[in-house]
Amino acid sequence: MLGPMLASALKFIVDGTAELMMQPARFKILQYLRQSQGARYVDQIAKATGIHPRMVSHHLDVLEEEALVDSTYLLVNARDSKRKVAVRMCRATPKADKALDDIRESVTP
Amino acid sequence: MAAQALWREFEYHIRIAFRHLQMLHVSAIILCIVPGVFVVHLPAFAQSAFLFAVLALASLPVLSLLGNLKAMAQLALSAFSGRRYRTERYTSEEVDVTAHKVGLKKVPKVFLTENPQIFSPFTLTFTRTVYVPQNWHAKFPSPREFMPILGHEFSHVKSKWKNRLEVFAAFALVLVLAVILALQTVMLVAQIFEVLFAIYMVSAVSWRNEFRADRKSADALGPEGLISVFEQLKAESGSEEGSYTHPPLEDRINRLMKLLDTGKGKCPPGGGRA
Repeated sequence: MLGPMLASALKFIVDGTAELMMQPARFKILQYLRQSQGARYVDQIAKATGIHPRMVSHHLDVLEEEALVDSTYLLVNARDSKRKVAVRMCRATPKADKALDDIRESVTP
Repeated sequence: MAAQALWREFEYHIRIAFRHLQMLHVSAIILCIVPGVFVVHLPAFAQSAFLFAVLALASLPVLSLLGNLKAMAQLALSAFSGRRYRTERYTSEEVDVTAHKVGLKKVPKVFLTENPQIFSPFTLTFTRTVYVPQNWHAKFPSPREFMPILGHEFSHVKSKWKNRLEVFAAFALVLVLAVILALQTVMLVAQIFEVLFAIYMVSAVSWRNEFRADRKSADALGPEGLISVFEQLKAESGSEEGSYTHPPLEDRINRLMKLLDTGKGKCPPGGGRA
C-alpha cells in the first residue's frame, strides 16, 4: 500500500505537472500568483519576479495549457494615454494550489 | 569496488583538468608556436625542458577525452550487446510545421528512444534522423518547448553542408599551420601542435554549430521555448560547464536572451510558435 504522501507525490509526477513546475521560472511565477491576492497582468508579474515579460508570457501559456493558470483579457487605462489597452490578467487555479500543496507535503518530513 | 573507486578518482581529476582545458589548449598552442620556432637554436637542456612541457600539456586533453570516450564506447557496445531498445516514430502536424519553419522541404524522421545510453537529443544528418530520449518528451510535454528542441535538431540538418565545410576548412587550416611549423621547427613540435589545434578547432566548430542551431530555432519558433528548456536543464544539472561539443548552457541562454531584448526571433502573428 502506498502512503498518502507518496501517492500524492506520484500523482503529479505521473500526470506531468511536476515536470512542468520544475522549471525554476515557472515555479516562481506560480508562487507569486498564489501569494498575490487577485489576478495580475504580465508586466506586474515580470516586475515582481524579475523575469523578462516575453518569458513570463511563454510560461503563462505553458501553465494555461495544463490548467494551472487561468487568464482573461481586460481593457485597462494605459499610463500617459487616454486609450485603453488589453492586458492579460492571470490567476493561479485550484489545480495549481493543489499541486503546490502536494509539493510542500512531499518535501516536508 | 576498488577499481570503481579508482575510476571515480580518475574521472574527478579528468573533470578538474577539463575545466581549464580551453586555457590549456591556447597556452599549449602558443607554447608550440613561439618558442617552437626557435627551439633548434636553444641549448640542449632547454630543448628537453620545452619538449617535456609540451608533451605534458598535450597529454591532458587526451586524458580528458577518455571521459567522453567511455560514454561513446558504452553507446557503441550497446548496439552489439543484443539488447534492442524500443524506438517509436514520432509524427505530428506540429513536427511538419516546425520543419517547414526551419526551412526544410522534407521533414526529417523523429524517433523517441528508450535507450538509457542516450541522454539528450541528437541528429544523424546523413540519414536525416532525429533521436529524442523518451524521458525528454515526458520532461517537456508542451509543444511550446518540445518543438523548439526539434527546431534546434532540424537546424543541424538544414545547415549540415555549412557545418561540414567548416570542419573541412578547420582541418585544412590545422594542416597548413602544422606544415609551416614543421618547416620552421622540429617535427615533434609540429605534430603536437597539430593534435592540440585539431582538438581545439573541432570543439570551436562544434560550439559554433550549436549556437547557429539555437539561433535558427529561435528565429523560426521564438527564443522563449529554448530558453525555458535550457534553464530547466541548467537547474537539473547544476553544472555551468560545457563539453567538447556543446557550449555552456549559460552562454546559450545569454545569447538567446539578447534576441528577447532586441525583438528579434519574434514569432510572426497568427501562431508563429508551434
